Amino acid sequence: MGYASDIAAPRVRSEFARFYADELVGQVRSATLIVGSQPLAHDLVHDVFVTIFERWPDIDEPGPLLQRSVVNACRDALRRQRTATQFLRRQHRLDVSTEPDVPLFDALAKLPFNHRAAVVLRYYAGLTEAEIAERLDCRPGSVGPWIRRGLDRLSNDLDPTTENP
Amino acid sequence: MTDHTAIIDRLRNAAERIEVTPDLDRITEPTPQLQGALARTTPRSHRGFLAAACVALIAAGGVGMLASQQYSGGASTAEGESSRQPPAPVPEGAPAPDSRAPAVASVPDWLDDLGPAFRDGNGRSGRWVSTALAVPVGAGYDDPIQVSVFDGEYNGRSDAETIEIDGQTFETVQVGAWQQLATITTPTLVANGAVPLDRLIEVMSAARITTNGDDISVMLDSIPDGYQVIVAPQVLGNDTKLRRTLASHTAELAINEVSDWVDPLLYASGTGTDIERLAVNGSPAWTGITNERFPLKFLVWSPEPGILLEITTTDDNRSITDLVALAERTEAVPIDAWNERYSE
Repeated sequence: MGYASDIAAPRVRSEFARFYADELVGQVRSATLIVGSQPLAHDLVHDVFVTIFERWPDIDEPGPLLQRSVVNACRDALRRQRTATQFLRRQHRLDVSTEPDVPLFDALAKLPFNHRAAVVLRYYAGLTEAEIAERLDCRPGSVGPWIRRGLDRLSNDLDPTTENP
Repeated sequence: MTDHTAIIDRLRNAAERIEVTPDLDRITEPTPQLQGALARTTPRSHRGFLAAACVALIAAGGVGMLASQQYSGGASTAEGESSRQPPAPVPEGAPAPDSRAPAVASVPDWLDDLGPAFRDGNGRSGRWVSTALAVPVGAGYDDPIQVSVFDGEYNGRSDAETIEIDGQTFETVQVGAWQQLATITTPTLVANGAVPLDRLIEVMSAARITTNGDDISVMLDSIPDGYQVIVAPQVLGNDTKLRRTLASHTAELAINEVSDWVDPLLYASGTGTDIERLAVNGSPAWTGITNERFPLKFLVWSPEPGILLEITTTDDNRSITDLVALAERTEAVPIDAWNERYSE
């Protein structure tokens, strides 16, 4: 208790704050690439952080849990807003960054969810195919083909001359 | 095979351009007291303290008793007499850090398992002296406040936020209603409790750091109305990096050894919550319920001189009677015996 408690003392917040600082940027950027909207991604990631904070003392490996939960939140959000996704994405487009690569986000949005998430988790988050399979709750053998097809389609859809600065 | 290097680089470049603004407070919800403190002008009665505290802290590196300007607030009494004595030393025979750990003779039926676990220490270093004050109510105390002085470090400072009060800089940490306010100088004066920030400031304003040879201590020149000093200044024992503990499989219940706090009442007062006196095998014990993100019952007692153990649980089904019964089956055993009993 007081200084000594791992529940009531600041240590919980201290540990969580470090975890938050380490994970925030990568998770929001991954989620933005997946859902196509930085504000939506920011909200989804923070909602996941809230659930993890509430269970913090009981969680052994928060990193994988966070990423799995963020991916699931992205999937759920896109399902809920399937008809509105394109609208929302375009509404938030100017918020994605000061210099968004609009063609890239458009091309990503055309990919099936699993292809898109696999590409982002592999080449932005740097996960292995086995880790991606765990995050997406799928067979490890599915991940490689999803990544290859995703990259092939991105290459076909993106004309190098269309890249924003 | 198609070379996707350009696409991958483009993906990474796009990601790096996404701006992310941290918003930790959205998750951990700072209490209104802190937000208020940032915007509030400190009452005039505190200003003398702030200037005096800085003088005292700068001078505290010297030798001999310090004289500092006394807080002149009107809502205090002179009940701080019991804090004006040399700090009590760590008792003879107190265990060395990490030399004893909790063991349960027979696990009660409602507790399906209890296994070995480790938890971090608090990262305390240097010299520490703590005292506590609270409002006496029946068989317990309400609104306890702990006041400490130390010249080392501890983990609780790592995420402290800096606030300005009347032009002076302090560090604050909050967990729900529990708040800690600390000076930024060394030795450091710190007060914590689940009370309004003004109350913490009032208590700090009456606190003086004293030195006498190698000893440091804290004295309270006055305390708020209704309060009394419940633990006179006490030197804390040494901290340890790792603590051997026992935990249920669901982590809803844990038994910890916390002997470095010397006095169960001093330890309980650090929760900031209202505490009640009980008995474990005839010895004084203290219990309370903290309620930050979720209710947590605790029971702290001394099974033998120099040893402190605590039980904490977030299991709503467990009554304090259950915890007392478990405590009466719990002892602190030497580490070798603990390892032999609980190692895989």
